[in-house]
Amino acid sequence: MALSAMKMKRRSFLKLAAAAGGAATLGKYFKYSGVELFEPVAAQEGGEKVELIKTICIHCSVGCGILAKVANGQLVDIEPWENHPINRGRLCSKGASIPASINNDRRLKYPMKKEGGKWRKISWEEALTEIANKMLEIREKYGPDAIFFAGSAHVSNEAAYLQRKFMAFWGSNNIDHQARICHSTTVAGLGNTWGYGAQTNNFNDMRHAKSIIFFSNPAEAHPVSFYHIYKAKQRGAVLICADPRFSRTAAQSDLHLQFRPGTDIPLVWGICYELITNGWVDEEFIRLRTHGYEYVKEVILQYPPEVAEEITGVPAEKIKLAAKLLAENRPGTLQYAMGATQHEVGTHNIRAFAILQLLLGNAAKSGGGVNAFRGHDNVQGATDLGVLSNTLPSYYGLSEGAWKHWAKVWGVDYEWLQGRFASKELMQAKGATMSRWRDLVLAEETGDKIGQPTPIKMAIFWGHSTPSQAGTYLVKKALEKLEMLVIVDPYVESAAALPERDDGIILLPACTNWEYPGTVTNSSRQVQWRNKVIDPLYDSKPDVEILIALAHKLGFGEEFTKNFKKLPEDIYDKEIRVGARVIAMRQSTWRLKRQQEYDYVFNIETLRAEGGPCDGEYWGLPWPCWNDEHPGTPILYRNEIPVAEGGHDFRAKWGTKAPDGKTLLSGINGHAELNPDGTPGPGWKLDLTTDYKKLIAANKVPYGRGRARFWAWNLPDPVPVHREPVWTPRPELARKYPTFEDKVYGETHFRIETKGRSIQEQDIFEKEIHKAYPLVFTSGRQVEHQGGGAMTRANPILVELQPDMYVEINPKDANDRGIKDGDVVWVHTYRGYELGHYRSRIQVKAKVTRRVPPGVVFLPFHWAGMFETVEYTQRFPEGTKPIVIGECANTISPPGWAPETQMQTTKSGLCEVTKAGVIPEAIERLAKA
Amino acid sequence: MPKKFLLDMYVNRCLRCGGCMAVCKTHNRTPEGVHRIRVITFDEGEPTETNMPMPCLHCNEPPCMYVCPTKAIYKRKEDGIVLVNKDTCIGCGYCLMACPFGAPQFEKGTFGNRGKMDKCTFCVEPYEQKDEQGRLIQREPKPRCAMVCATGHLLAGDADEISAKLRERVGYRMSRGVEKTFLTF
Amino acid sequence: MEFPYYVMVFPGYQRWGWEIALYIFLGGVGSGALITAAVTLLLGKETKIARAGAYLAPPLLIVGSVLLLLDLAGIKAMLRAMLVPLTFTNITTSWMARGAWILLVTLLVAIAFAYSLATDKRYSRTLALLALPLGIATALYTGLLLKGARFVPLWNSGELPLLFLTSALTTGIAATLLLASVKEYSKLRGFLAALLVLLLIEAIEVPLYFFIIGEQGDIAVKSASAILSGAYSIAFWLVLMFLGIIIPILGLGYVLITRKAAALPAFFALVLLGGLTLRFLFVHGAIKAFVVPLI
Repeated sequence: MALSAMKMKRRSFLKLAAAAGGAATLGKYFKYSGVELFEPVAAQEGGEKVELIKTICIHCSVGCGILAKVANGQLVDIEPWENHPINRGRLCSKGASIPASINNDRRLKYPMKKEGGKWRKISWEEALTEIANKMLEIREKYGPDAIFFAGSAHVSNEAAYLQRKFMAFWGSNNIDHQARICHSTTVAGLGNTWGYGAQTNNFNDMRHAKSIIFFSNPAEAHPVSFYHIYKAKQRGAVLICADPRFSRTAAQSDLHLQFRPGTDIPLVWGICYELITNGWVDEEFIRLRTHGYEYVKEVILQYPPEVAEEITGVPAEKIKLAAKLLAENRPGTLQYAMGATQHEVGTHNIRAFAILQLLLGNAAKSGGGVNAFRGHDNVQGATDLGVLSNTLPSYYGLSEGAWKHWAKVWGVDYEWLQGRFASKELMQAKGATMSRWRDLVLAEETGDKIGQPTPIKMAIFWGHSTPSQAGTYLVKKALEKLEMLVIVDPYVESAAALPERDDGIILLPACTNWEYPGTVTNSSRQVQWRNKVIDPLYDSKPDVEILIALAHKLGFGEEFTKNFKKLPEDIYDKEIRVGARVIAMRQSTWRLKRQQEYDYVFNIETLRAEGGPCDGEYWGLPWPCWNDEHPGTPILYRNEIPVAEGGHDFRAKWGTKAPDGKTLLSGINGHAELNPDGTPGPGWKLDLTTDYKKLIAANKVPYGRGRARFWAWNLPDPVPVHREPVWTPRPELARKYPTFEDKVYGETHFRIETKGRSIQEQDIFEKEIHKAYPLVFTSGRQVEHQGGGAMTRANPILVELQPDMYVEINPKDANDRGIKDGDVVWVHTYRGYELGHYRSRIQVKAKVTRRVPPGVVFLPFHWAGMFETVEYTQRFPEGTKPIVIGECANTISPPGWAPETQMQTTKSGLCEVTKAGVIPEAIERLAKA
Repeated sequence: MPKKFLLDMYVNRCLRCGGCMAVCKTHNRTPEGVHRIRVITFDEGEPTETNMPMPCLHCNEPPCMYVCPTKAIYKRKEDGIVLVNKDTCIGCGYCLMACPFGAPQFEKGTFGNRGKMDKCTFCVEPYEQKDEQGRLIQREPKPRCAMVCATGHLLAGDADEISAKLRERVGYRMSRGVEKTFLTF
Repeated sequence: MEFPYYVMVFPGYQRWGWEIALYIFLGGVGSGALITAAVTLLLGKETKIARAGAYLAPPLLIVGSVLLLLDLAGIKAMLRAMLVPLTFTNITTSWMARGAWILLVTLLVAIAFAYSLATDKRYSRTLALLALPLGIATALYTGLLLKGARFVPLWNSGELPLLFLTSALTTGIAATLLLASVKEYSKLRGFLAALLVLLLIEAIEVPLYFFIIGEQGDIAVKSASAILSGAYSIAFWLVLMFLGIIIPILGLGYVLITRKAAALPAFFALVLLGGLTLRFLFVHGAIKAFVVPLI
């Protein structure tokens, strides 16, 4: 193709230039890189062009700014972006080593296809034609729902939005992405409590907290957030860490609540019990702004600290102390991440956190709120833009009204759109999820009921990793059974090598996020413009271009690109900005670019611009941002400031009256949702032309001023109660606090049968697997790696800093098993039983440490390259395998799904650790039975 | 004005996020195995867990400079940065044995052992000290590790700035002692 | 002004390797042989033993120097290091620079000494007078070289050069006598007595060194206990103390009493083995301290 030919030309030119410049010796510093690099200073001195380009880190969701140093079109270095209002130039190891990730010759360089067991280089044209033909063939044979599309949280807002739109035009809701297995329970939990399922405050605002309670490990997962957390600590904030592990965050905290994995709710209720019985709750806040206190009080009073101690293992004294500290140090903020969400009770964990903050009166104020730290750089944006099987962009859901709204935005007929789907029912039915798609592939084998005509036959993985999906054995089997597997990624994701299949895999090289411009939403809803740093390297292409090319191949390209003249800005300005009204994601790209230019005017404490062209704006224009004059809403639900200044209220999402007859409208200026003209009605989210000026001038919130719900009557547990994990080491507690029934939400939910109680009864009560697998499994992150690690495990710098996959095990457990630090061990579990594979095991290094308490083991999940003790790197295309490999922790993760969202459980399972090669008798016996 | 690093042990802030190590490798392009700054952890997993980033502290009386047989290690007059001249370094490794902080790093040598010494240069010299014309590369003394340090554990700059920070953190009386040993020129 | 600090074991440190240990040993033996030759010549007549010592010293010193060079960065560095006066300029503060000079001068004198003994013998007494202090300086300097690295507590003691001098003398005498292979007891008696006395001193000095080095702090205790009772204890107690010192003492005592010199070469070899082990223990058993400044 012309594009790639041009690129080849440019690169060979650079090669010549480099040789002439005598930079050949540099090869040895980039030991793993074949890209010729210039010595930046020499280039500077030689008067050649060196640019510093403002851009955003591609790893986690803090959204750190980085200056990329570019010489002659080559990324040579980075510099700290010292004016960036979020990080002020601070970076962690991942951000600081991005050039080694981008200039890396382990990247996928051109489209590849696996044929007869061999990888073959193919052209873009051939690849796209083949994919399109196969998709059409499958559509013909099985219908549009036989394809599963895994979108990504690692692409720009524009690409994420196009992914959703692509599947809408294709005619299926089988699209999902990382948010499903990351913070879907946050969306359900917080959304059902106060309206929006997002981080309420922002990183900078944590400076104002007087107390911070952590339910995750930001010191390792979001290190730069500690820039602000330390400021709070310096100003006297109390840090409390609730974590089963003595994490690095715990090491920095004043109080550590070391609870058993999966018992967040009793711990929080123990704290709340103290608050209520001591009269430390904020009565006025509860009276004016919440609904259903009496219901939640009734439940909480069943969990005094002593009961909480019995369940969680945290001494009652410590729980009481935590309550006292939180009550005496207000406002306090609550922070959590995947440690709380990835449970069967994930939704309810999050609701419990929100309720704690509501009781303390910490919600909806600066220095308070619930800070859900998200994972990927754009997972908030991808969630907002609906790369999810249960909603269209901006949380419209899948109702007919929602489809009509978006059809109007897209400029297509609703009927035409409906015609793309197999049926109207399937158009409005939630699709397959990231956590369960493999069950939809393997439905015939497992006998699970499915909610669509045929199983899934083809999957497209567009920037989604395999290691993060629970139950690797099932994932592997599903990958092997698919008729075709398409993987779009800058690196060769392990999904390309994990399945033992000889053909039917196509790899497309997407460029990295520094090679195409776009917007990116960080965890705090701040939208930032990410500049393009260099042209796509090798023969890679931007996600947006690949999606559009594929749409053209499939025959709906014209309709798909109707509104776009200037890419990628038009995607945001002409569609997202017009349609995404539920969350009011109405920032214009020119405003984002202007903010980037005037980065220095933003106050780091408030994130507000002081003077200059952006005067009054908040950094990143966090949504809701109602119109081009609105400064954005950095802190959600603040009702003491006018709407025009970023104030609003809890959403009036559930009508004006609760089922118990009490009002759901705020006690302060409460009103229902409004039409643009000021009359009550849902017009605010359906009108495509209004800019809400009239409502805002009247200090009315378009979606109403409602109350936060303690009592969520639409959930199976209206008030969270403790439920033991499906695989619990405490069966006596499981009898008292059993997990959810099977099929809480009907026969199939998200198109698949969901089990809960029946697994617990069978495995724990009948087979008593906890006797053969006595250790509690929990998983987490390493600071040097990100997600599935395809990129970070190929980065020579990060690999040098963290080369190992390991299992953290307490010295007591290790000594009981004769394991020494550094030994190679097997970690066994009873997984894979769905397909009659009654044991899974992984081979890792033992790290004997007191970080984990006795009875708990911890594994980082970023690793791939080995499956059940066998290395499979020979199946990677030549020269693309990561530098370091390891076993995937999710091979041994437990079963169990949150009934609301199909969130997988990866934080509380059961396992046993032995020396490598040893299989205990109890495990053998269990596998035979 | 002498340039100094400050490692704040009283407020044990380091998280071992590795930003300093990674940015140093990116910026100075040191090869595998050469870390101009390293984070040391002790008591990992215990309540006393402490992380400590260790760059070269650019000592007032650098032991490495005194033991260097070839005068390859020198302290710059104008700002007190301790540098190594790779033309005269013979890679004997004596400085490694003499440095209390583990600053000297060695690339791989010809015979499979140590090569020439490389150390933190306060970011004034990248790993390969010369450009292709053979001129010595000199950059601004702005250590990237301290610039990216998320928690402000690692500070760098002029000695008087550092001592001001130090006084803010640990008080005048304590800082005076430290300044005399570490920050005076 | 003192500052508060915390000392820990240096994590993942690079050590000096076998080249340095072997060099220190060979340098010691060479200087010991040179001293033996010089003293023999100065005290008595030119004998076979003096010649043996003088002939032994230059090759040992040369091999040792080559090992030193091998430890350097590369061919270029080696060539540069050979131009001692141009390269090792820091004689004011660095023991390695001083050592290079001492080694160079000693080597030249040793060669001249050997040459003069082999040929016209006119200047041999003058050269012996020169060689004696230079030999002592070389032996002492190997200890001072290690002592100069202040942050290896095991080395950081004034006793170390003396210990190395003693060991250099014992191994030097043993090597010289081994090479000279003199059979007559009467000619050997003085040497054997001197060796016995030196070995007795060493027998006290060596364990004492490791016992008192603990005063240098935790790290020194750690390295000393690794040598006395840990990973290196077999090398220390069995090879160095028992085979390298006790057996030769008993053997020499037996020879001095019975005047039967037949088994002597075996004892000399054991002394050499002991000296070698001592140097390896010092180089490999060293643990580098890591100072964390508590500012």
